[in-house]
Amino acid sequence: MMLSRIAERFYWFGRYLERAENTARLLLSYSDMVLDLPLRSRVGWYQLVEITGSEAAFNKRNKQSGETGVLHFLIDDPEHAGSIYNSVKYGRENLRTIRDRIPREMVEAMNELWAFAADESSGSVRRSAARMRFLRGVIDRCQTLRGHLRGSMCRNDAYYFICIGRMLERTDMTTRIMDVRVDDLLPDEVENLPAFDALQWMCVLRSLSAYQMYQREMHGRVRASEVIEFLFLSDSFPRSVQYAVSSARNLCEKLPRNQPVLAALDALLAHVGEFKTRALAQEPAALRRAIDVIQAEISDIDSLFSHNYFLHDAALMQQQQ
Amino acid sequence: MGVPHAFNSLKLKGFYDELVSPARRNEPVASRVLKVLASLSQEELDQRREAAELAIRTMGISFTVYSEGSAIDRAWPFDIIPRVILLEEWQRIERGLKQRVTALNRFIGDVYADQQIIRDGVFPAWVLEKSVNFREQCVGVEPPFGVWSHICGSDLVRGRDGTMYVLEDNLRVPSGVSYMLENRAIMKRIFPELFEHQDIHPVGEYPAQLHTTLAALNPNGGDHPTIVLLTPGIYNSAYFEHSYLAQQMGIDLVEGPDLLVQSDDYVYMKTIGGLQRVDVIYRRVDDKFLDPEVFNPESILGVAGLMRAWRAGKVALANAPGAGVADDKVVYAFVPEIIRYYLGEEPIIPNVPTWQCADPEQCAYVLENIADLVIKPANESGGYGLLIGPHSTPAQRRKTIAQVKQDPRNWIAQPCLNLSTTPTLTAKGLAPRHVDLRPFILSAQEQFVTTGGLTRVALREGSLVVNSSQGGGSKDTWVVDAQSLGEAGDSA
Repeated sequence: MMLSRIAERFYWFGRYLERAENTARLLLSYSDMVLDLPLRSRVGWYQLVEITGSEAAFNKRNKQSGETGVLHFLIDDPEHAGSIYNSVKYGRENLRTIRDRIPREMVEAMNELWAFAADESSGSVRRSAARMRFLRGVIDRCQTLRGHLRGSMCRNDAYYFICIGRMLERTDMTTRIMDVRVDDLLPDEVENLPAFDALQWMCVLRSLSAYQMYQREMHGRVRASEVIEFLFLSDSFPRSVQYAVSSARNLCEKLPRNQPVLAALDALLAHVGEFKTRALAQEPAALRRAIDVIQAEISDIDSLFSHNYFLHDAALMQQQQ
Repeated sequence: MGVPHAFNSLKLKGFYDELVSPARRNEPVASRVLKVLASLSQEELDQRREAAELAIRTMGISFTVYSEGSAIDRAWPFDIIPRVILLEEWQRIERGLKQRVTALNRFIGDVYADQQIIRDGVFPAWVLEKSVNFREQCVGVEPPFGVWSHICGSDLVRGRDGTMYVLEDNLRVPSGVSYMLENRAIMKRIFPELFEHQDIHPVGEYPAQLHTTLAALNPNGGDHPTIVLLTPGIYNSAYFEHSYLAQQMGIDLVEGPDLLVQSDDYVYMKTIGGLQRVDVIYRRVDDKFLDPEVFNPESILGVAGLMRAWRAGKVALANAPGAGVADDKVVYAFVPEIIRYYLGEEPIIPNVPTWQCADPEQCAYVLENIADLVIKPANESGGYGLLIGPHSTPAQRRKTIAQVKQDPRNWIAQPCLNLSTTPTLTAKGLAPRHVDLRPFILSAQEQFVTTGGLTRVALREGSLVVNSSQGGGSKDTWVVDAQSLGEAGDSA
């Protein structure tokens, strides 16, 4: 049976890889959106800090919340645990001790991604062309890694832990992005967005690579309520909450001692299924509360999962009692 | 067959060369190796060297040097010219190593039991009183087969007259065997033509023999014991080897926090399926960090209660705690006596002559002749604290003299050996460089010795220090049956 510590490395490898890619997507779509907005628009880069839930870390060390400060923080800041630089670095460090169980191409692709991030990240903060190139480079390399993972790794516990880590990280990011955007929503905007807000919702879709898929599935213009519904409830789009959580659930079914985790995931799925966007749409405050509840539940599942499988001493004490 | 012209230029005056010196007996093997080398231009040799370097990188061979901070991988320098030992000589060495380790294990067992060797006046009591590796927690324990040092790495060196000596025995957690295995894999990859017409004995059985040795220690019955390798973790200098051996044996590589000892005194590991009992631990963690309940309470590398589990016979530890009591340069000087005492045999491989500073007369001699001697602290390894007289500065000598005077019992001295050389590829072509040899001896219900071992080479011209932490590299080591070569005929 796989060592708990090793399982934890696989899990975090999956999470960090997904985090690096998600952060790159977020910054790429944001940088892209900014080009469409009038120079004096109200959009602030600080929103990115809010989305990534790192306000405290940012405020502690940064005075200016402008473009350069925020992008440095999220791209190449070696002091910020959530920067792309560190996500890649931690991903690679987690891989080091498990590399004997991972296809060699993946190890090489990870080293390549790390070399790329270490060399190119700092040059990409200030110049937008270099930034776009860098962010696309990170996304492509993460996808290469994922291709090797899917194409050449046995479906065993190691694989399941990587994918569960990825799915939980993805759920976390999707709900965070919506949480922040919904915060600005006024009641009448849910159906009829002002032009620049529509741009921002398109940006939400793009940051999750969902724009094209949304257009195909939902046919037509961008409405807040439909975007939210798509990103929460689509059972075909792989970055929706519904899809990611049910994937995680199906993967957990293959693990030993999975009863508590499965029960929690089923409960979450039930809550997501009851999520009535349209009904909530007339009342943004209720919508925000509903998203918060789901976010809290996801965070609890993460703790429960760690507790159940990674057997830290606290968990053991309880198991023995 | 003519001997290639390179022969003479490869011999360093006043030193024995592994390939060139024993000219008559070694000639068929040496000329074949040199012939292949001579057929290659410097450019081609460089290409082979680069191919080896690439192979090393892709195989992920690395070792750690503590002082290198965050850059924890560094490629292990590898020299592509093999070091050759003839089978008939090797068979004698193998017997000598088994003899030595058997006697040392008897000694360790005696030290932790009745200390008969001290009562009989063969071994002085003060050495034990002084020993930093004597563990009173081991007194009264009787490990299976009477073996304490299941994996021993003894360092051999050859003097100018061709005699092979034992320089030291590493009875605690010797490392380097993975490099021996990988060096062979690299050589076969980059110099297949050298292997084609020669009977070079394979080295690859080691992981299976190690597994057999460990499995034999299972105290809990059953055909499939759970065996794990306990590593201090990724920042340890030998982490590559730990991971390599675990992988080769198909066992789990664990760290201290992965294990726990429960109130039933059994050791368990934490898995995603819950707690799983562990029967045998190949530990690569030093005694002092093994169990915070008994030794260093600050240690996070060990497992609380491990000594309790071991003493209760619920888990086997290899090597056994306390085995280091015989891994001490003062004890070393007594090994020939130890062999005679326990086995009633003469030592097959001699010791390097050793002066003990504990003896006032010998100490005076050492201090007077310090510029000609090698001075070593009794309980250090890896070349730390060592003074090589002829290569030292007056300031270094003064420092060592003060240390010796302060604590004479902790110091020994040996003559500066004219360590043998072997041809090595340098920027200026082939040149002689000094080498030693570390074979590994496995002991449980039966004994195994590696075929040859790890040859370490001092890559700097004139240097005698072969430690990887101080500029040493390694070579593939061949045990060759020269007779079968003659029989096979030489059509090339």
